Amino acid sequence: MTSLTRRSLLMTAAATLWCWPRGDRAVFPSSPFELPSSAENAQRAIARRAEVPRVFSHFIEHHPPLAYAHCPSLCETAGGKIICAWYAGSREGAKDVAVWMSDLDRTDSVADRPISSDAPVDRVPDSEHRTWSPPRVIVDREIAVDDLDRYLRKVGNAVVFADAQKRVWLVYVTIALGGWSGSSLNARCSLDGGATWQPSQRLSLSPFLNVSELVRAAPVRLESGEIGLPIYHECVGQFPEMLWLRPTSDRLTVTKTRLTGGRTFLQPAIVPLVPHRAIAYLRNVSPARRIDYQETTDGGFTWSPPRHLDLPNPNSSVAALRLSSGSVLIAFNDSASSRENLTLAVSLDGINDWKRIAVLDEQPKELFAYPYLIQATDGLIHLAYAWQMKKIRHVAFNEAWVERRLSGEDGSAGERQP
Amino acid sequence: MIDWCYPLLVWALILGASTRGVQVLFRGLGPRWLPLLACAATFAPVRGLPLGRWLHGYNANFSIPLVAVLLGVILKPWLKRPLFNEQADRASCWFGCVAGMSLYPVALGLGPFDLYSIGWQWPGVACVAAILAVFLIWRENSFGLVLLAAGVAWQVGCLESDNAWDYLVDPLYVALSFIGLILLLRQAARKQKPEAPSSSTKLSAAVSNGS
Repeated sequence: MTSLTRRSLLMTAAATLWCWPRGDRAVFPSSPFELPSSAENAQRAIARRAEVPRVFSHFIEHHPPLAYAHCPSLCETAGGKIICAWYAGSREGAKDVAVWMSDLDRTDSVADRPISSDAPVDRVPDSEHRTWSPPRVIVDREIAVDDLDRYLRKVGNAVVFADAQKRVWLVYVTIALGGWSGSSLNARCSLDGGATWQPSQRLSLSPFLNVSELVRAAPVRLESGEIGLPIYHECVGQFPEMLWLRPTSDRLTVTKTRLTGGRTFLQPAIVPLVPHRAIAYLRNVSPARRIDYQETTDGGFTWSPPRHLDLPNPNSSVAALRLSSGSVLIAFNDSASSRENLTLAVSLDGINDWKRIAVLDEQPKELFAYPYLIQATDGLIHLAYAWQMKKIRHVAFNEAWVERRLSGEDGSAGERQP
Repeated sequence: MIDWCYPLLVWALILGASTRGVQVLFRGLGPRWLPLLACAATFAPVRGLPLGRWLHGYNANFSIPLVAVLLGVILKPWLKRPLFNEQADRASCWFGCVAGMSLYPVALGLGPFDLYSIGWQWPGVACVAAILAVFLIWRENSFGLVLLAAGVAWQVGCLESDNAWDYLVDPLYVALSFIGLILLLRQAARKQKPEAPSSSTKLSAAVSNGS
């Protein structure tokens, strides 16, 4: 074989191998955000007017108690069950930290037991405390080591969500080396609404030893069935990203895009407003101490530069949700320096003119952090957050309650609730 | 299965090459087969898993050019000539440095665009790799064959990652490329610089002139 022939063959092989598309190649989704149709919205608006304002609260507690509980997330399964997943252990970053799960069955749910909207949210009948199932471990260090076949030091943040095929996914953090900036993401799938879980899958998302990708906020669903999961990077730079997930059987195909670079923003909470437009609310780690926001008009691929909102941020996570009226509800720490309160506010356009509607918790020198918001198919809004970093608090309310607080009919709009 | 075995083999090569490095540093310390023994240690079971799989926790996505570099180091005592010639070494070092310098600062947060994301797209990094491989093979530079092998690995799915970048560069390879490039540049500078006559040469010249 002549040198020219040999070279030609090798050149053809190289070109073919690199240019031939791989069957499992991840593809960036081009589908719009999944939103309730206008008919559904109209139906919800009618239902909202007829609804009695309701607000309820529960604690999800460990028996025996654990010293540290943090970072809850919520999801509604196909059967209408609400699932909560969080991590807990002897302290943050300890080896005994595990991801726990509990579920609230709709048949025995708070929705069936209305309480007057005037009742303080922390006054709940004893019976309501029993509606969350006893917490159970779904991932701990041993399970993750077994599933992933490698050394791991600890587990951390987790987010639970359902896809269009009714599968429940858990995306969670593991760390082999260092602190939170050494995090990697992994996914686990449940085909039976969270009762049993498939082995974990490691997600490769970073070229730098695949570390420093973390998850915190709620995902957004696309009409194509794909999922946009907000994540963030924390090593050297601190910036928000969007992880695009395509669920196939019990695996996820992943790609990601960036919201912005730099060293200032974390934990984006994304709220789709119309099919291709969404707002991302960002935790701000800079001395500006303001929540920042970014906008996209192309389904989440490009984002405007971050701008300050007129809401403070003590370097803490926020959660946000689009209401059926089109307004945006946000749960945040209403302080520039501490996480001593957890407040709800509403804005008509999601950017300007925020009206505080309730303070759910407020206690000096205590921490109320990491809120997570979802709206169930029955219209009830579920909020979970870390209560004094000791247990998880679940607050459920409907849009009628939000409107009542907003209009000030009960004389409490904008005021702090005891 | 292959994405389970591949990182194990790379960890074996890393342990072997590190042992060889220590041998070179201490002027031939230990027998010639010691690096091979270090490679074998990777497969020793520790609490039900091969040692290499425990190390896997620290990194699972090693690039194909790194494997070529490690193989070159380990096999050196057994081969009559180096696995890669100087031209391929130079191409490898430049490629590692340029790719690393382009990718890592951006991946760590410099700017609003993530260059890593084009590793999932087509035409993206895969196309650039194809062009580079074709060019190097045409120039008969054996680093082109390494890129060809990376293409095979990418199609087979040797790594956990689906991203083409991970088949081409990793932090260890980039670090070795920087070291290699510094050494190559220093060597080139030495070659270019005319040798200054030593004092003994000057003395002998003076003596011979005098005589």
